[in-house]
Amino acid sequence: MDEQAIKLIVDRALAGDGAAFAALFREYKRDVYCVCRRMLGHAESAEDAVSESFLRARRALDGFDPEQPFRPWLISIAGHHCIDQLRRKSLESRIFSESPMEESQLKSIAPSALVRILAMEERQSLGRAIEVLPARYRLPLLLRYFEDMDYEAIAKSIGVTKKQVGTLLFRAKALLRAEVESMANQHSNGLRVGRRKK
Amino acid sequence: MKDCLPDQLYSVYVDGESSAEDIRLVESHLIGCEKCRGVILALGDEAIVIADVLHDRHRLADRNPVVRAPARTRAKGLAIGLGPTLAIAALLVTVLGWLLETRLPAGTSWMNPMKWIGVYEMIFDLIFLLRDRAPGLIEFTVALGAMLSVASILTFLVSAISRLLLGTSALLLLLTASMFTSPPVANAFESRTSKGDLEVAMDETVEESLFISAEVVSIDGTVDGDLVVLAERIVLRGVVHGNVFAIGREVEVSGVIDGSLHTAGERVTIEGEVRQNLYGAAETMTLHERGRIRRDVTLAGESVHMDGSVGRDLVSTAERVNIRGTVGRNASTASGRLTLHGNVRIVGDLEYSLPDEAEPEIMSGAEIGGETTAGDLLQKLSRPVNRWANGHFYMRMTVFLVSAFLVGMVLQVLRPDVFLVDLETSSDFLRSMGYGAIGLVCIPIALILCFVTVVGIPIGVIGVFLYVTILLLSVIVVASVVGTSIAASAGFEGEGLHAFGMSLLVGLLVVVIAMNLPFVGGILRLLVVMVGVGMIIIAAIDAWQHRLGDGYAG
Repeated sequence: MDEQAIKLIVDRALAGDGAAFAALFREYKRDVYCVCRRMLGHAESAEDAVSESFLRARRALDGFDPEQPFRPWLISIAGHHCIDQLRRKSLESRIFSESPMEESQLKSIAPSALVRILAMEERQSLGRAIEVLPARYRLPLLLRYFEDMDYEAIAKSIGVTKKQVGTLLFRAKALLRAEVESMANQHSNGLRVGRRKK
Repeated sequence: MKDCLPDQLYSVYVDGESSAEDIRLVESHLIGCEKCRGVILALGDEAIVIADVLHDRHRLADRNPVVRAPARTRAKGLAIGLGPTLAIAALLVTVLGWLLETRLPAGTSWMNPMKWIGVYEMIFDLIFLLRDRAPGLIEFTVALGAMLSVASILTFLVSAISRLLLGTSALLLLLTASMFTSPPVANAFESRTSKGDLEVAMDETVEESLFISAEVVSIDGTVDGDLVVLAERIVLRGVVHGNVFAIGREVEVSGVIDGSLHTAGERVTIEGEVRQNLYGAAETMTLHERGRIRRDVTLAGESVHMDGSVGRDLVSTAERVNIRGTVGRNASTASGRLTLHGNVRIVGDLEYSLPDEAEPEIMSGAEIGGETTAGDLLQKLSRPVNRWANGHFYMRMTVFLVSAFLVGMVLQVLRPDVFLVDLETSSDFLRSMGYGAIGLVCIPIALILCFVTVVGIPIGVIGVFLYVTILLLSVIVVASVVGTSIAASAGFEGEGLHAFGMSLLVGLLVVVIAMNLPFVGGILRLLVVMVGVGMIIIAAIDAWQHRLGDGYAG
């Protein structure tokens, strides 16, 4: 559906047309699912999160500004819902505490390291690294590199300043590098141990 | 080095989100710093890798079937789906049972499976008989097993042989012709079964179609509709205005059949007249001097004697073929021996296939109007697996690939959800196979039931088209799954129609090659169709539940 068609449907949904909201559900449920899946890590909770996100969106619809694009708004509701979920399950106690990582630590691994490590065969470990990334960083990373949103939209969506988006993304990537590097080290250590056993 | 800017500035710069001032700052630094230029390049690569990995996940998530029905509705979907399915099944069983017991015209009681005990017994006798006495006809025991679809399967098998002889297009024509030229089976059926002997006496007229099964069946009177006979010995001396399906140990036809004769047996002798086609399979098949077939004859058997006259083409495969009579057009044979006696008259061409350069015995006085050529059918038949050496095979495959590919693309645009069923675990696979097996068996039975009841015929016709479509689509659906997993394991990633097309093409190639492999090809073909049909059924069920599931948002 193009922008114009979506806008018409959103207008109808705003006017209280249930069928129009159902159409929005059909249009976006996959996008919402993908974000939830990435945020929460497993399929089942993601399914719940999709339903819940749409219910939330439906309730919050009155507050939606029809001049704004609908999708980022919806995605940010889903993202926030996922963060709530994670917090509730206290899987992520650090979400809203400041990152313990020092600037100096972040600088220690150059971006080229990631690219080098990821020379194709390590992509799986990057996937795992994204999964263990604190949600505080994961959401902006998803919005940027999965949803292709610009900093401004991300800032609005997660309620921070544009500059902070830059910082969050920068740190997210630094953490990923560190995680992938440590996985690669573990892997090679494991190999070494294995060889010694032989 | 100490002048280098903080990495975060570069990160934002690579994302294209820097302020004008920062851009100036970064770019003026980059001019003089090779190391930072490297960092910028690496950051750009990194962003691509991250997006790639995220989207790879996206692609996998795409294939997750639950996306289409959100979690809350899944349990609901099961309840909604299972309930009505059970209810409909129960309703169908009840209604059908009730109809069978009370409502169907008296003659259709043969449809009631409980009344088939004698027939079953006879079918088994016949199968064992055929296995012992005519091992060449083992294919037809399969046809016998499927009692309800005897006519269609027999016609299909026999015409498949003629397809080999006459070319591909003939099959469709034949099937269509035999479907539409046959007087419709619409008339109500009368059924007569007995353990002893049964007859339609000389002065008797059966005004509808007749199903008759007994030890010995004699038809001396007239049958206005179709005649389906299953007996140890069948003697048809009367007149049948419709088609005849006769299966028995001995079949003798000396009467007149207005429609076509489909027959299988140990000894089949035709002395009468068949005004349309003859499809026959028998150990000994004789068209007597007085016998006359107005149109085409397609025969398979141990020994075939063609002494009578055939109006149009004769197609015959047998160990021994003896021709004495007249063939109105072309004759094609594939046999161990071929003898053309002195009084043979073939108006058109004769094409024969004999093993190892054996020559047909053509006696003096035999008249062949057209050319006499040696075909390679026997070689083809004796090496049915070696399709790969045949040029036509590649042409057919190319046509199939192109059309399947186009249909697949159209389907992806119109109904992409057909391709969304998962086959990631073995239980998915088994589930699809189960649904497929049920679908493959149940749909034809349902269609036959539709055809038998007069009102159901339009539904039946639509159903046949739908069934054939599903069979074709099943290959495409399986190919798309195969292609996607090959693409995924090869690290080929992408979205949209282009990527789908690529993986579909790869999948189709793999599946088509697999289905035509020697020895295992047949089994693979069955598997592919079964799994594919199952996936289509599951997708249909999912779509239906999804429609129900959507309700909660509205």
